[in-house]
Amino acid sequence: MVRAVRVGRLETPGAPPAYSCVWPYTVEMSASGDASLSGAWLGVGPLVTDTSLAAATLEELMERYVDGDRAAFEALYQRSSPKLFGYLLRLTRNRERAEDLLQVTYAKVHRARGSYLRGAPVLPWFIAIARRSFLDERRSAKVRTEDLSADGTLPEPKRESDDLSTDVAEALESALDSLPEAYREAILLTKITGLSLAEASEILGATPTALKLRVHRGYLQLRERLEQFKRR
Amino acid sequence: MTSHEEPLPELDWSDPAPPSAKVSASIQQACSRDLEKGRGLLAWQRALLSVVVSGAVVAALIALGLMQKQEAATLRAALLGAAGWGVVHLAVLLAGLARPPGRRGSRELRWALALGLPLVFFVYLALSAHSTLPLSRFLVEDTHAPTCGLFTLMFGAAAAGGTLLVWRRTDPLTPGLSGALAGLCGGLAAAAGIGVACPSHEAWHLWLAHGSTVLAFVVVGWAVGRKWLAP
Repeated sequence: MVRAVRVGRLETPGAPPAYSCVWPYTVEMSASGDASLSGAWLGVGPLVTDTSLAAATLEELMERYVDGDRAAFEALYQRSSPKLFGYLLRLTRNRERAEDLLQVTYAKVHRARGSYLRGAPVLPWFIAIARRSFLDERRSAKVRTEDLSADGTLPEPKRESDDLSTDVAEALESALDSLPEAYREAILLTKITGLSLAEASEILGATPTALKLRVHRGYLQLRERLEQFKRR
Repeated sequence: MTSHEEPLPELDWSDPAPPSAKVSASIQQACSRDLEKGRGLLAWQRALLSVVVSGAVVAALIALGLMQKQEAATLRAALLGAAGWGVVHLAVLLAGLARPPGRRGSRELRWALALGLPLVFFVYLALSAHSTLPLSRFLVEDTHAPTCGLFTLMFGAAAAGGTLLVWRRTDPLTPGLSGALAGLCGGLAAAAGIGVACPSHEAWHLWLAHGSTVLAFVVVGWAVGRKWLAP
């Protein structure tokens, strides 16, 4: 019986949150409350139960990964992918594209891992690569196929669903989607992904003051739209 | 308190569902390949390499100049050129390239270096010029300028290209700016070295054949850096 390190999201129905498993492992509970794990990485790698990995910072994990430690990459993936995927999903508004971009991002990280300058903050490093991949993909997609709308302008990217929001969380996402891109990205990086103003401003190429203003204005618009939703 | 100064309530952002297990497995598999081959150079090793590459260019040009004429003025120019190159290279490494992305000098400081130092170099060239021909006369008479410019470009390309290669894929945050700084290092290395080897002290010659190449390297470095320095 092994107890899972609590670093991921619970995926197995019925397992209590106190024993959240390292995604995407499955967890089974015994009568005594102990957890056993199976399905580790679809057979590709060992389960991350190393407590030194669980306690390590992203930067330490990255350094161990660069040094050839596979388990460190697993821990790094488990800790970084939710934020990275959330960022890409909100950027693309499309699950498949976000998954494709996530693969492209990690492939680039893997290719460039030898160039990682030790001590550099990892999440901004990953996010910057993900953003660049998104912009490249969007640029090439526009060149390939982009039908003009009836009024001769480029259409807005399609959302996954145009249904009216049914709860506050959905309304919030929908309000975020409707923000101008500059505000949306500023909020995405600082409020949702959790980067500092300095880190986010480096990625977006803006000054921290300008970014703070974008976040503030974006939040005002979000609050306004949420209030409209609540009044409905 | 105005509405812009009011603190905004934190919104509750829910985590989206994770990527599919198939995607995660595929990433895991791809990123577990060739793990032993990944170890790259440390920052100080890269810094040392870029100093060696750029320093070799300066040293070669200075040696060329000193072989042609061993006068006090040439020696002074050689010393000034070497010192100027050293200071600029050190500043670029300390504020930019040699520090981890995200912990570098501010974007404003680095742009000031990339654009301000070529301007300082122009002023230095103006002060060190012995004569100034009218531009129309310079264009007709100075047949030496294209050769000099070409040499500066060739040596500068070796120094800047070497520096860009040494720092390849190291900066996902500001690759263009880091490329501009690498271009500045290469351009200044060549311009400082060619200043020793070149016999001309005419102002237009110095500005166009020596100084403008530094600016050109900053611009080209910016463009190349966006491709080469980003992972």
